[in-house]
Amino acid sequence: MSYCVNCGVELDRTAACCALCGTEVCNPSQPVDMTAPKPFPEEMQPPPPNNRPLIAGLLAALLSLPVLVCLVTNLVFGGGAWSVYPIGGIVLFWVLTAGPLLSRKPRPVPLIALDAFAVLVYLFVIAALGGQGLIVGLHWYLRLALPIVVVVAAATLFPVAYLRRYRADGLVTSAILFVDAGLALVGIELALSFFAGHPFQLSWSWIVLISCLAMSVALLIIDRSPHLLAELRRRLHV
Amino acid sequence: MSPLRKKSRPATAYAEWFKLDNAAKLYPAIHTGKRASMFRISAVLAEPVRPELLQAALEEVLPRFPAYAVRLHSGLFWHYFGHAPGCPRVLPDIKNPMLRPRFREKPGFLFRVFHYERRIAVEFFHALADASGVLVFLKTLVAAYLARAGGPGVAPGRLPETVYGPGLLDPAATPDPEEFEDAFLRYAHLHGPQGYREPKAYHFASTPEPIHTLHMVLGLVPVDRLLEAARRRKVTITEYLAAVYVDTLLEMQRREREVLHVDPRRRPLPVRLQVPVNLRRFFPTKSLRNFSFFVNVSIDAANGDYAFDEILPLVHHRMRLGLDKRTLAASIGQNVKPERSLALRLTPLFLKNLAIAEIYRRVGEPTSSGAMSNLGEVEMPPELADAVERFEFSLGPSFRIRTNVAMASYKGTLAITFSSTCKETDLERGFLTRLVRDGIPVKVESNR
Repeated sequence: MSYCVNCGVELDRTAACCALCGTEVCNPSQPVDMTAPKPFPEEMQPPPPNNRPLIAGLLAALLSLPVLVCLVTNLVFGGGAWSVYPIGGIVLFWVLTAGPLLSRKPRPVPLIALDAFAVLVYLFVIAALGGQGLIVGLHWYLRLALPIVVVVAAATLFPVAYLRRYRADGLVTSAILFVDAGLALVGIELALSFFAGHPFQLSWSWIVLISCLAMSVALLIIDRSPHLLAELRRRLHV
Repeated sequence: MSPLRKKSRPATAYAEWFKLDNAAKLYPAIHTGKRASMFRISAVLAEPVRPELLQAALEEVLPRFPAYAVRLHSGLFWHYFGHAPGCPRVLPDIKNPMLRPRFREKPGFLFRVFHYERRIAVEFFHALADASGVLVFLKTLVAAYLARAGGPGVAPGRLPETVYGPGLLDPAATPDPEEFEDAFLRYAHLHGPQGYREPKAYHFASTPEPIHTLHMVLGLVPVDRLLEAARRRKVTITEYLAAVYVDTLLEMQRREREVLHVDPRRRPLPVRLQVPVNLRRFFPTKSLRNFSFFVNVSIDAANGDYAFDEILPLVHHRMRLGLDKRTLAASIGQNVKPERSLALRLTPLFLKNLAIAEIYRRVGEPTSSGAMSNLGEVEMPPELADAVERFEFSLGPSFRIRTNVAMASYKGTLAITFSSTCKETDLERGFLTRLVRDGIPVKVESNR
């Protein structure tokens, strides 16, 4: 019998190295038995096949039915290019749902970026085909839709990317989310004021931002002070 | 104590379907596409296993355990078990055991039977049963196999009636309705104190292995030497081993904080160990389904460094406190209470699943550093004792806890199995070398 010189445990006669520390077995009086069966089997069962792409394909097949119905109805009965709107909506729905299904690992950052891009494309189509013409459509698209979508996407992406990279507990996460929400609302109000013809005028969002900042600072202080946290838990327990 | 006045339904009522027991309701809700709560009990025989005879033995034994010949179904409000026809195939054992069952594929049995060299292993989805119930199934299966194959001291042919009893069932007998019982309902004490939320516990840092990898390290330890070490310190074997586990985790946390230069103002986390308890020891039932609870053994590392001899009395007393019969009944009551709420019962299953999974994610595994399950001393009838060399017990992969420990002893050898989904072996090494330092010889086998 062989013993690990590091761990002091007896090893199986088929073990070429210690299972605990990896030290190689070197015992001239009893070499490793390469012919005896190992204590555990060596064949691995492969993981079950991933059927999520199949679900994404099935969803695409199901959604293609209303797409076809809209397209054929539009072609037969006319009435302008109205079918682009429902078809665009259905395609957008598929992009939003199929992204997570087709992604092998959870990748929220590229998926959120993709979703924002898909929403922008759909809104662009609505703007371009709208009854008031391309110029008017592009006016609200560039001054209102594009900035709001970009702000909302950035406000979603930032905390997701940050929290995936740096671990944070509940209080720090909440503090980040408060600052993020405050900044997002400022961004949205800026976009609205820009569209209304009063660029860089803030009327209400700065109040929300200051409240959010105050809340975040309070949360970070509580996070840094275990005594304060314990006191709050004691007084506010439910 | 006022047991619930809920009568067991007759066995015939269970022929087509039956409800999940109180503990089982958790497991279908928390399983993911990658993992499910599984455990495995193996018997290592004196001679190599013949698969065709094992298959015949399984086909003979399974009708005696109708509670296990089932598949999982989803109702509108709850999951339920429905009868699964046929018998699962006995499979060659694999290196990555305790894969999640494929619930949707027919026949959809929630257990598997494996063979490898001299080993017969059964793996169960925890919703079906706990280890004590499955041990009865495995022993009955081994006996039926030995009746066909024979072995040291066992001649092939019908076994004498004396081998059968409560721990090893006669395959020819009719199932007892009490074997289906959800004993939690019978013994729950509903008016006990409210539970409280445990704070977050320490989880050791480790590198995860790819999914569907499970490393097993088996430590074989002579029970007499272990008993001697435990008696020297006036504790039981389980208490001694729990203290070794806690000490190893405390040491790992200390080292991690040094290596990672953790801000000393950050409090070290408590090490909390879950030790399952077989409730049949306290509340008599023949139930072959889940009927176990757990005792939490916790040491707060923020209180300072503990020596091993200081940990031992703490573990000893905490386990004794947790094993009070009335406390256990009240704890069961805490789990049974929500199940009796009309609002919860009327909540659709998918919402229940989401809620249970979220609660488990927040207060389940985060509040525990690991689990150490001791199946205790397994006994076989004297007629069959020589044909079985040892029993092994192992827990499947958890979700956040990367290494679990389970053990069973037979004929003077305790088999301690570490099942791990991480590359490092610090816990296994710390635990087993601690025994070696205490003068207890350890033999190690592994699939690493």
